[in-house]
Amino acid sequence: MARYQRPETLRQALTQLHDNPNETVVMAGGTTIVPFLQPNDDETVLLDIGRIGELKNLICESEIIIGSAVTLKEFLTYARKQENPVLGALYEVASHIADPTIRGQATVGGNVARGGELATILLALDAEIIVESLDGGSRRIHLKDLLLDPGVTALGHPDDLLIAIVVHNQKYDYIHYDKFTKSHLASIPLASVAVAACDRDIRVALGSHRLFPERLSLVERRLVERDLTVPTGWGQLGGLVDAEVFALTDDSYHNHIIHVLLERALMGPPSEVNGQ
Amino acid sequence: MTSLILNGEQWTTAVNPTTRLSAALRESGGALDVKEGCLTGHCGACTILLDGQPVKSCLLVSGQAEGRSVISLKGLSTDPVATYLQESFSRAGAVQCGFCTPGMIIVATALVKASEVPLSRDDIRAGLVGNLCRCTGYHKIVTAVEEASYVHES
Repeated sequence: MARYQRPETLRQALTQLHDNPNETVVMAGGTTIVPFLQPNDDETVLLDIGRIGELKNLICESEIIIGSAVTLKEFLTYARKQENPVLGALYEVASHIADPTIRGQATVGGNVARGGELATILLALDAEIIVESLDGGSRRIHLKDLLLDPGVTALGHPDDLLIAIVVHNQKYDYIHYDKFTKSHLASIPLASVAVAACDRDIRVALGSHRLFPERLSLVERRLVERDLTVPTGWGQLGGLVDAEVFALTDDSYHNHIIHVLLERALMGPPSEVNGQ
Repeated sequence: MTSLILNGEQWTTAVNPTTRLSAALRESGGALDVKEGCLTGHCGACTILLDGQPVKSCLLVSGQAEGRSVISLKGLSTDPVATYLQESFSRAGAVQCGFCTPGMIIVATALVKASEVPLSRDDIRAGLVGNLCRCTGYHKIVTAVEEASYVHES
């Protein structure tokens, strides 16, 4: 069976990762790791970072910093008290991930690292991640630059550890997140869409359709001069959406869902401004 | 070795710390009230209270519970809310095959205790969304929890 290590400090965790980068699997909540543990796997070292205090930060100042080992439930409890629109938008997304018992275990870092629903909205909010390793020190990477290709990330070191997620605490004109699920709201979506607009800078992210969410750069460029709070025709924009989405996935069912979600996000009524 | 407090008593097991907590509790701890269903976190039959919070024990390795309090349904035998839920489940016909019942009562107990007002049926359905029942159709389970919540608050 796999071996288990639970370091008490960040330094201990980084040292373990540095010494055994290829055999080590990092886990905090464990909800996406434990179901896939193999009983005959003698080589893997499970590195449980779930109790490291340095990874439990929750800060809301000029930047919003969320430690990677913060559980979704801890994040929801914190975000509910802050009356901050960016945290409010993240709260809406996090409160519909999985079910309440899983939200008590699963972590923000885990959700982002596997390209979950938080990663989609964080991508639209142009979030950064802080990673650290013994050799490389602490660095910031834009979430949009993290995934270069399926299975290939911008992490420069095999022993990089996700420390925190950073979002700029700024005023947005429009934040929207929507998803389509097969059954109830808490189940894993077939597709999700996030849009954030701020000072004519509009970011559109698509999630759940592939391994990791991605930005729709062609659509973003077309939207630059549009005021999303004023409903206008779908027309040419819909054609552009289809062209860009079809290049990402050739599944017509998924494409239709994404088309509908994007139309709703970009043509939505003014009442959806600021994630209300 | 993993050492934790199981239903109020110190318990040490020699199982590998990467063993699923649900398996360790059943096979080494004798806690057969912890049911193993899907082993993927969908069904909720294995739900326990970890430091007072309901979690799915099939999604945890036993090392994660080291030094913490684990309570299975058996550990709630003297809890007044859980006892009332047991009775209201019986009255409402909310138990058929019974496989989901331990997890349902664990989550329902935490749900009723956490609320300062009687729970609505929507609140109850949202709280129990992680627990599957293939027999009752949920209606009777919601009714049982609603009754317990009303009695608890009054």
